[in-house]
Amino acid sequence: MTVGVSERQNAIRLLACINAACVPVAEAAYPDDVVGALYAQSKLQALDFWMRNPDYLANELINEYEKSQDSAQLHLAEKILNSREPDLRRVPMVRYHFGAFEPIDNPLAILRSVDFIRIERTGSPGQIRKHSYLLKKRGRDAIEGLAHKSPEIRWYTNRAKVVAELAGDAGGKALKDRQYLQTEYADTVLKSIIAPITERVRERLDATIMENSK
Amino acid sequence: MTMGWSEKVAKRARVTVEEMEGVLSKYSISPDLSSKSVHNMYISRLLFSGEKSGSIVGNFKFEWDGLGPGVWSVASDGTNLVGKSTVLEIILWCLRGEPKGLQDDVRRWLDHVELDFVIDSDLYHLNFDVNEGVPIGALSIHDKSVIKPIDNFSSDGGFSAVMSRFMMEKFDLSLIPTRFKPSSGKEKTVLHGWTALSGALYIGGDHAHLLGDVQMGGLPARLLQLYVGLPWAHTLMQAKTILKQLEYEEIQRVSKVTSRDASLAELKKNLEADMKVAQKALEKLGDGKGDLKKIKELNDQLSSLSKEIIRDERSSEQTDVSILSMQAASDEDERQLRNLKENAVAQEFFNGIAPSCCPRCEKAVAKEKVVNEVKTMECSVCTETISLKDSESVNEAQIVISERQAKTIDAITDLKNQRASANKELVQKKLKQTDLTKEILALNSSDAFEVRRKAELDLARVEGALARILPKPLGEEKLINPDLNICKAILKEAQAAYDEHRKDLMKSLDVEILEIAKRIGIVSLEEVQISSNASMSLKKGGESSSFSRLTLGERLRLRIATAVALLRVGKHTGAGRHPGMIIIDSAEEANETDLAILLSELKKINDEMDYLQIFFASDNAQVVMSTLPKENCKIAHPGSYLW
Repeated sequence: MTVGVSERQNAIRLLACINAACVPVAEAAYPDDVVGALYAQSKLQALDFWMRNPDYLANELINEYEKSQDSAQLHLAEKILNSREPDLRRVPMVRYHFGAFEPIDNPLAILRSVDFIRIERTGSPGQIRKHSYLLKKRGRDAIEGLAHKSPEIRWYTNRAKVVAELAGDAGGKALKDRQYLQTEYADTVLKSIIAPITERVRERLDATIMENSK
Repeated sequence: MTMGWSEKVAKRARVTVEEMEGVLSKYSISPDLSSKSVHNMYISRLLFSGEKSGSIVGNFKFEWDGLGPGVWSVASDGTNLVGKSTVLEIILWCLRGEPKGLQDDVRRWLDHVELDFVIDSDLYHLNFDVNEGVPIGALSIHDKSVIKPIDNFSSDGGFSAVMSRFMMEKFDLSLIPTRFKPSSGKEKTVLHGWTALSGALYIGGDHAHLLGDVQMGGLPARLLQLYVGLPWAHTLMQAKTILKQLEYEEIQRVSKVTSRDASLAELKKNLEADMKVAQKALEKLGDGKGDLKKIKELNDQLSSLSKEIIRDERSSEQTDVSILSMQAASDEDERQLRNLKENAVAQEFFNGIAPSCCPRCEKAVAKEKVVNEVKTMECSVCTETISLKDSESVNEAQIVISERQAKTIDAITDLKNQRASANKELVQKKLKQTDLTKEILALNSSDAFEVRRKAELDLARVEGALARILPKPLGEEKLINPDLNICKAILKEAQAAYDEHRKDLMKSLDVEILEIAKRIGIVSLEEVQISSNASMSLKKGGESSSFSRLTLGERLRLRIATAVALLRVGKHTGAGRHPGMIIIDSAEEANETDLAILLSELKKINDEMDYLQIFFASDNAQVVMSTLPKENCKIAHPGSYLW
């Protein structure tokens, strides 16, 4: 008996990401019930990559620590590795030409059918240039209500906050470039699962902690 | 045809005559083969002058001319200290070149001394000044009224050397070698020269010895042999001395060799002891095979242990792989459990929300379609049948997966425990492996090997040292000096030649001594036997006696008798060396009758011999004057001095 990750789980994870990373919108441009917007699918994919690969996230947190000397980042990285998240919470992704990519139409459709989000597409069908994900108020209420009720879902909303903060204003391409810096990611053959970097991050973390204790 | 003496010696020594002659020459041994003539000496004139000092003062000059063979006397009238002895002592000083009993004060008084003497037909003149007792002058020969100096002197030593050399040569005398051992030091050969030989010219003092005044080293025997001219006596004497010398050297050499042999034997003994020690040490170490066996055992142990370790490590790796794969399975189970939970939450959430639009066309879903869903169980969007997984089946799935995971985790725990104890064992085995390796290394390169090698070297060294000693037979160098053997032969043959002549000579000597002694006063003497070593045994008044047991007067007479007998026998054999002059100081002679007999008989004997000169000192002027011609006497009348 094997139980895989369901599309509804994917939908919730993406919703948490959109909720955490969307920016407020000008009231005039959208109807009242749109509370924020996340521009570009590539950014959503990049955020989702950190959600699904805790080792890459921990590595990025160490990078962040080295820049800011904020020890909270280092502690979180340590916590991620110590709780074996890379083994237990990885949801493998395949590499495509423009980075980690997973068809997300199905989970997004689930979110759209219950009217949690709206998706704006520019360009013509078959030639879509850009997706914009507009979060509706009922979508935000739903994910936050669900997180409040269920500790399983709360993990996603908490983690999405971390990821969104890490990504900041950076666009999808910039994030993808940062993720590409990892040899394992860059060297991954097209259409193959991106390899874990857990061992290397563990060593880096230990070295950094050692360096700190000096 | 009889062999000559040299041939006899060579045959005895088993050498060639040339080799034998070489030894004779090397050690200056002269065979008594040449015939020698007898020399004769007398004093013709004595003069001395000087100045007295002390209690008696004044210049003095004493001259006694016209001397020749015969009996001459200096005499006083019952008193001593008138200068009789001085006259005799000055004659002796001149002849010896060395004073004998001349008083020091008298010597200092002397200014000048002259002595003329005749040897055979040559006239010699000794003339010297005396400066503070030291003689400065010359010995000369009168050759056809010309005085030719022979030698000069200006010291006691120089005077002694001049006279010694001259007399020894003139009388064909040899130095008398005797072996002498001082109270400290090595035994050595001492050569007695003219001073000792001339002892036989003087008869005075307490007459302790029959001949001469030195008793040591068998000198009287030599004097006897020399003066009587015992044929071969001198050769025999030389050979004996040389033989003694060679034997002494031989003893020294042998003792050196012996002590060397002894130290070699000691060394050998020590080395043999060392060798035993070295052998024992080596035996104790064994032949090294024990070590090899041990090394093999240890190597076997190490080999099987290493195999075990490799096997254990491989199985440990396999355990690790198992643990990893089980962990992966456990992780997978955990992910599935989480998926179940999350999915349940998500399903419940999304099922609770009615769809508002089609995600494809975004048209609103009709209300009645949503209401109908419950009845028809058809999706209000896509009209597919909705299958509701009940919570029971989710729970069942959770239980199955949870149990599976629990089992996996137990298995992982077991494997981990198993691996921990296996690792513990492995660590122990690796420690043992290290120990074994070390032990083998130690045995291979160990001190044991070094110690054994050292012990072998020790043994080899001792064996080598022993081998260097052993091949040389001990005492190889004990070869006797070949001269010794030849010298023994020389001695034997000289002894034989000597013995051949000696008996007759000694017999003649005994006869002469007995006759003369009886004539000059020892009337009771019945038998005299003088041995070749100059000891005398005699029979007197039916009793056996010896020289030392006689009275002073008897000893004086026996000495005179012996000296005269030597001269007479020497003259007869033609081998005598005595100068033919005797100086007698008999001041102690008290008995007038005895003295008269002695003097008159001496005069008779002297007349018979015509080559004898006797100087006689006496304190009985009356007897002297009545016995001897007036011109033969120098008399100190009562209250006056001779000079």
